[in-house]
Amino acid sequence: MMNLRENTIPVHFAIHYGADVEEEIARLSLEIERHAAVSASFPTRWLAIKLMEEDQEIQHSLLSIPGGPAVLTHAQIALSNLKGFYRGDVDAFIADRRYSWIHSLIEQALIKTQSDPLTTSDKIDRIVTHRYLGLPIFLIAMWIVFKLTAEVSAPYLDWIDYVLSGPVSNWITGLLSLVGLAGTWLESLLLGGVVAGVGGVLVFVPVLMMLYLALAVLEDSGYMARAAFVMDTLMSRIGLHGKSFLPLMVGFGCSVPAIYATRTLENEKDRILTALLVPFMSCGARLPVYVLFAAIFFPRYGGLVVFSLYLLGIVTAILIGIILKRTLFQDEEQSAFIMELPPYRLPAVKSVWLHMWQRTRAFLQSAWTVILAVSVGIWLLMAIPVGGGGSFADTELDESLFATVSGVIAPVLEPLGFGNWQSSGALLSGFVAKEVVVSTLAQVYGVDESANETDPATTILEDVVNIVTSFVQATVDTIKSLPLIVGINLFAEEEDAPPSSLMLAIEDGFEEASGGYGALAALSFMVFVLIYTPCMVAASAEKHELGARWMWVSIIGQLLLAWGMAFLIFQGGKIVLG
Amino acid sequence: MLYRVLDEIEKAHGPILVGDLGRKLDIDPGVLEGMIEFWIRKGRLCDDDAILENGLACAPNGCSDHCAGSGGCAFTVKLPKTYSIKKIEMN
Repeated sequence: MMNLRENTIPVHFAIHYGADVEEEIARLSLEIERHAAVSASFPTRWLAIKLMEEDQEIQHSLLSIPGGPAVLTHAQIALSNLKGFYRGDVDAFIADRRYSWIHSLIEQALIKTQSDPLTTSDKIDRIVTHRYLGLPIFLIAMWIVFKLTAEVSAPYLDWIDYVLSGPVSNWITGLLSLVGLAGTWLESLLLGGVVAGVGGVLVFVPVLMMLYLALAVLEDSGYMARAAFVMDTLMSRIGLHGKSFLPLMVGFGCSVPAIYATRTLENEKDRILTALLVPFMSCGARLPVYVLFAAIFFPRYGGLVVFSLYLLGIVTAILIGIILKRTLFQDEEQSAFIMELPPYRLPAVKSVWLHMWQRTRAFLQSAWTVILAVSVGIWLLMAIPVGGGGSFADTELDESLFATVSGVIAPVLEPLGFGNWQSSGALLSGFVAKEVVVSTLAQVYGVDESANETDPATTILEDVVNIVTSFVQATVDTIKSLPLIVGINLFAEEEDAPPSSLMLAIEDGFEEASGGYGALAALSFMVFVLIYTPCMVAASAEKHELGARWMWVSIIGQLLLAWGMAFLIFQGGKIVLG
Repeated sequence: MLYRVLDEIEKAHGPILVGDLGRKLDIDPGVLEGMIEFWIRKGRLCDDDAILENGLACAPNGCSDHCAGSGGCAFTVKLPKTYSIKKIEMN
């Protein structure tokens, strides 16, 4: 609150610009008054000051007035006399004097009656961006996001899984039977390639929608900007560029725009370093892998597993950043920037929905393009027999071209606990896009969930009714899941949903490959997925922004680090577990 | 006043908030905004949003072929506005 002082404002005033500038203003004013046409067009002192400020509009208009060019020449002389002072900026000095004068005028004219001018937003910021409280608050916010993402969305995940593996697969089989194509390679392509591959990823759309929803709420409320400030302050304190975390934060959504976001860093070393760290931030495409493996091996701790992996990504980025900053990217230059935080506000439903929908739509588009293409490609490789006695689309998976090619690198992954061709194949295809890891696993484990002989045959009408009722049930279960965020389990007395055939197949595969340490191998696999190259497009973005050399440094470095970290987790875990 | 704004940003060695700087120098947020704009015009501060506007909107190797309009890639998180000090070589 402020009150106006009475009778304190001088009616006539002139800002004093300091002895040197005033001397040049006086000299220039004399010259202006010597030219009647010029002095008749502008107030003398005002014109002299404008010329000292190098006002281009005024300079231009003087050119057409008699005597104007002469005045301009004198103005240039006056400016050159002052260039040695005021850090070379006479106009900045003049503006500075004006601001100081206004400031002192306000101080004279206004009485501040309230000692604490903090708004509600400022008061919240004092806690949220606090030196010590800011980081724990950020971690709690992240934990809630991943609890929501991994656990609350589970009922919808089961629902889509049911729809794809049940009714949709049955309809495809029925349709092919009608046209006499049942049991052909086309059925194998549609069920084993498209439904298993693309469907395997589509199952996780509710998980991603929940993540995008949570991120949109955090963005729209204004908290995301505070989180960026908290993390940037931390980065500055540990010697990294203060603005590094802004691009890294974009990396939570997708690595590609995050790599482009490093353009805000003026210093080239900082820009390269930050772009190299971006891939360690876990993008949305990796989420289906975590959720699937957490559901198989850590069903009660899904949220915690996902949260830990995201945190591990941040910690890895910071540690690697510190190491690189002190070795390859040594630079004494400190970051200096000012940040404008948006005010807090209640997230608008329309805006949150728009954010969530745009991101989900972009993901679905990639599902119908990249994932479909890769799924069909992998189906084709799995359909080609190598050795053995099979024929096209009728061969043992172990004897397919895909198994043979993937099997070549499998021994390298053996010390990590997942040295089978299925895992190496999924990781190979994951170079294209991380969404593809799950679709490949769904294909290579060769689970035909539609061919469940124990299920009674249903009509289309019954299928539709089942889809609708199971959707309603999923909605009810989702609402019942919400208290899980604060640790209240309303499902306590109910039995957990039985694992799907795919989940059982992956569990068996990992148990077998790891010699009985399936959960440890799964953890090692998830860490490998977190650390190695996010996708081809991200690598291409690195090439575009940093050059081919840094792209290769990034790809090879990430692979080595992923192998090393997965090795430590699996072998270290085995020693600890005995 | 103008120089103090620039000096305080340089001295901070990390991010400094517009609100905090305004309070520290006892400058009204509206006035501070004008001062920041002055230094942007002078080339001493850089508006980072302006750099990203072209960089993220439908980047040549975008995160997908989907483009979410002028806001850029759909997966981009809305970040706070930042203004960086531009290093100037003084001869």
